[in-house]
Amino acid sequence: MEYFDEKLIKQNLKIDARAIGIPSGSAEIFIEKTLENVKKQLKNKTIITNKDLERIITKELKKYNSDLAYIYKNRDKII
Amino acid sequence: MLIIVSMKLIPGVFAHFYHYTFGKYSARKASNLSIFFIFGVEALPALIFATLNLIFCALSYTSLDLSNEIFLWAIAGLLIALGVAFFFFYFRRSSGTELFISRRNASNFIKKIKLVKNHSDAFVLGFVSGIPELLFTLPLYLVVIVSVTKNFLIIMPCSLILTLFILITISPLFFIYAYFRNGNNLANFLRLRIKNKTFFRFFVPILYFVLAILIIISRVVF
Repeated sequence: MEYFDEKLIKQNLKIDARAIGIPSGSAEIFIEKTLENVKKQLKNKTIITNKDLERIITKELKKYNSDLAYIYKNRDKII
Repeated sequence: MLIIVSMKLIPGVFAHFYHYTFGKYSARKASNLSIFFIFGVEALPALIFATLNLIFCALSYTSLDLSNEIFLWAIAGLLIALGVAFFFFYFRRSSGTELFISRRNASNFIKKIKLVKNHSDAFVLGFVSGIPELLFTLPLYLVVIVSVTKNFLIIMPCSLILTLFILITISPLFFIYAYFRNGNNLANFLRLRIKNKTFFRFFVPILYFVLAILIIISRVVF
């Protein structure tokens, strides 16, 4: 079991966004919005599986940038 | 050579590494770290060739001859077994391009990539990333060193052939580097890998079989 670490997720998403060439300002805005929406969806839940969390974040990210969502979804599946 | 070029672990680690360093550091530092990563990848086969060469030199003073029939059949059998193993085990049965290495090992690689800060870290990561793949590539290095020392010594210096071999086998990393520098990202790279996964699943075992047959029938290697 691990705690939902918003700061770590935000930091990793920022690195991914910068690596794929998204300007840092706009990346910061949509990452904030994504995580806000994720938190709204998780409001009533105290426990969630990693896969469900990943699915929700991917779904929200997809609204802003499909490449970033794809990288987030498949980040552990390349090796 | 084609078999080693077709391996997917080192390019996968490198793609992750380049993506992460490019996102975390300046473009100049990311490029520098990538070069040291490539040096690390080069160091492993160089060390293997040096070790194998030393072993062969030592064996030349004994009565053991590694180019005899039994050794030839053993190598050919091993290559066929590796071809079959590659087909069934190299890629995991999942939607991505997850490889044969344990998941704990894979997540360790990803964790280490995130911890890379300087040149030595990048070098060590490059060196270590080739080790799990030795399971599939070590017999090939053996074939190369035997063939080079037996056949081509007169045409070209042995060390030059091995250097060329190492440079060609790490060429996918330069292609990936150029691929990313041309504006592509990890998502495109992942999609490309998933698209070509089935092709490599069939192509590499065929190459193993062809090499084994060549060793058995025409003995071009020995």
